[in-house]
Amino acid sequence: MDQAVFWQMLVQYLITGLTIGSVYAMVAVGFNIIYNVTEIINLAQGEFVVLGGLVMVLLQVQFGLHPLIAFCLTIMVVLGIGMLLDRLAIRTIRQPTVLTLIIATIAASMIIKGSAMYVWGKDPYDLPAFSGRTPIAFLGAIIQPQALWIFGFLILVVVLLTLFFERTILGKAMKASADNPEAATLVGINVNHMILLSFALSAAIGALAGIGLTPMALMEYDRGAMLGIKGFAAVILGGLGSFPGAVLGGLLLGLIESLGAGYISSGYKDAFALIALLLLLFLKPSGLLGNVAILKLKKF
Amino acid sequence: MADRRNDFKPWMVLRVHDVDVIFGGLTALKDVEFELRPGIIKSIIGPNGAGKSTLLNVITGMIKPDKGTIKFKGHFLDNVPPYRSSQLGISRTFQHCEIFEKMTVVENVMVGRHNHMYTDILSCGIKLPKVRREEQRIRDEAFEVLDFVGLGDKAEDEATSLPLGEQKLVEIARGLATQPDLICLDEPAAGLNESDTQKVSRIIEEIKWRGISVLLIEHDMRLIMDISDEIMVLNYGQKIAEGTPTEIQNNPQVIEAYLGVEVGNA
Amino acid sequence: MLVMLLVPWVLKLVPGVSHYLDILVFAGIYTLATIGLSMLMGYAGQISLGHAAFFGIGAYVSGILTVRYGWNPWFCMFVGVIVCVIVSFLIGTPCLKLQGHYLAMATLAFGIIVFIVFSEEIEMTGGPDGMGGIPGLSLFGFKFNSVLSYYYLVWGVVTIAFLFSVNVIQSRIGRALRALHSSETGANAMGINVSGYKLQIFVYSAVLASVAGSFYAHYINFVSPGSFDVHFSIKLLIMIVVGGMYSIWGAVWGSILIAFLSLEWLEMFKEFEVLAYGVILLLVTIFLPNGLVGLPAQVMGWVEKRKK
Repeated sequence: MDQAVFWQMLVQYLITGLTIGSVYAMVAVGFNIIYNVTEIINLAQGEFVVLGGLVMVLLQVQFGLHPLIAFCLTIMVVLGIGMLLDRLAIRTIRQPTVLTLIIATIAASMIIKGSAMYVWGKDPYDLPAFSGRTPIAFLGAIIQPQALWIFGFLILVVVLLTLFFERTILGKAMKASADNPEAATLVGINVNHMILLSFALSAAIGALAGIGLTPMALMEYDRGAMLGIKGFAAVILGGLGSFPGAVLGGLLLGLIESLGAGYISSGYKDAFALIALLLLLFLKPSGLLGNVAILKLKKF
Repeated sequence: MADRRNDFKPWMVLRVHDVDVIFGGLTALKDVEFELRPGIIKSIIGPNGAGKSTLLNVITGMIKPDKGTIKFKGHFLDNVPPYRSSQLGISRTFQHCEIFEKMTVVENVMVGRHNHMYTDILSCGIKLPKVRREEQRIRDEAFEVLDFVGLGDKAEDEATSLPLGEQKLVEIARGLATQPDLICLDEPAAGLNESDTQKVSRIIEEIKWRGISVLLIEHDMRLIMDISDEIMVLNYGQKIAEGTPTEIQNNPQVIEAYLGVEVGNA
Repeated sequence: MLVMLLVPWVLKLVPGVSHYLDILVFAGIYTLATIGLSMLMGYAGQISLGHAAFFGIGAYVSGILTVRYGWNPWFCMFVGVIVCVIVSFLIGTPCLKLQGHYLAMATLAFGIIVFIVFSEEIEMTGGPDGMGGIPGLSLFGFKFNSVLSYYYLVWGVVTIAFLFSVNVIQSRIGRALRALHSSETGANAMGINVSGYKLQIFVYSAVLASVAGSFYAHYINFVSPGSFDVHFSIKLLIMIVVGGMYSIWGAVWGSILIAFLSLEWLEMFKEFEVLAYGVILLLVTIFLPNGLVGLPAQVMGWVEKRKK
């Protein structure tokens, strides 16, 4: 193969990988927020991404609202749905075990997916790209401007969350609840509110990812499961519970998938991320940045 | 410092050598070292947070020491999972009683006999006659232990329906059912009234007379002074004294460590 | 309890709704797949989100080996079991030493990977369109070629598996499982290799699922990847949760109920199947944590409370 073409293709795969990796990273961050505060793996995480895209379509395309307004409304709507999930599915369980709560999130994801199918049908939907579709040339490869938006969203999420957790009282309160819920309650923090907040945040981040992704890759009602599990693979890759790990894991996973699909087989594209997950579990379950001690604190 | 890891005198049951345990930034145990002769009751005392339970967790394999070794009857225990240390002959009870819910008292004790049963999953599934015979044998053995702690008549009661004092006895019975060479008791008298404490005291002595070594953590000083053969004092994760009850009572460092802490029932 | 197992035999005498028999065969196959999974969830406290994969492996191994190589179906079933044992052992060994999340996600990932393999390896599996012509079963010359004969066969095997499982639960192993379910720390202190037992149960559940899958393939003579997707794994989960996690009778009742729901009563709601199951799952999780099996006790408790 021609040298130049080889490098071009490589750069293209890398760009694609980082783009989709940003989406996975955002899903992973959302997973970690809920996990850190509740020890639950929210299997409905992927649905937030789907909802983000579809609701945006509804508001902007169907109702013709101004993109910025539609954007804000979408985030709020999905955030609200996240809170509903907590209130209706999580809080209502009288004798919560981590197993039951995970089952509840599975049920919730099915309800969301089923409802989405009812409202939007099975067709994929498109959104106008935020700043057009003129490709930008870069090192011989092409970047879609939308991809830059997705990167941007990831950076926005990272910056805002870091500020939130380090600088605001609410953020610190959440960290406290995550570390030690009993102590947090003693200091006057309402842990239930923190849980609600964690769902709200995760939903919002997921929605953001969905809004960014849809103009590039369309969105349909059943993408949630795949996005969710890849997001989880990213979480494990980076280390369960680790915020920088989630970002790193997401990006890395995107790269693995893109390179695998490009060089090995595109039919197995989805499998690469999953195979990576399984290999990781066998070899280094604590992930890249994770803590082995955490693994030993088994309550489930 | 000379490597004394293999200075294992054959008459020692347990030898803890130079053990460190560090959690994050906190040193829970530092340079802890002691030996346990067979057939005695050795008590570990110290203020709250001194590291007593941590030491027990290290000995039974629940925590891996960051430094040092533990030798038990010729086996090195520092890398061994907790279930294995039980199979090797160390048994224990827990500070927060960990008896099994939704099971009767006798069933709880029968779990202790688990490793003295030899039927595998296949024979159990097919329910060969030898399975039935073994079950009966185990049941009888469990009843023996229950009689020893005086709970024979409560055998078929649901374990969690018993008062706390009796639940702790069930835990002890369960621990004894594994036929250990060493039993570690983590605050067996905590939360008990006077008469229950006396009962536990007598049972622990009886355990000693049966030839089982006892490692005892307790806050009840009267109990400790009454039945211990040796006492080791921990403070801030380090051993500050070791000796007979009389020696410990007169040790100035021990008294200082307990200043401000009520001596007696904590 | 054991006597009630003879009831399925009696049912066949009712000719009224003859196609119910067909549904009951499926119910039997599902029950076989869920008995082990129910023990995994109820006793070992673990969750497998990819059991459709073991089911599918059993089905496809049986299908491929009988159709393309003409091997003896019973032997093929055995091969399927071996494959599932190896795979479940490989997945379970690292995961069962860790928090339950890991097994949940590993099985989910595994399930999806297997589904993709089924769909992609067209030469071997026939791809998304599936593979047909799978022969029926026969034993010592007797051909199973009617719904009734399969009914007896499947429920016969279910009975054996059920009795075996009950014996295990009532034995020292069952006691060990109940102990580790109640307190892993306590169980470890008793010398019980907690991870080891969880692994045994996981492998056991995979074996049963594989056998069930093989029966499925021989019963409908056709397999396609769509039957073994995540949705089916979740359906197996629903059967157990609805029936009751903490008793293996739950697997039986749950499977029968869901079999009827999916093949008969919810036919018209095909579009909203996902939504309906989600709602059912959620409601059961919230209001009926012990499932149908626990319903009598729950109602009794409720009545007792009202009396005061």
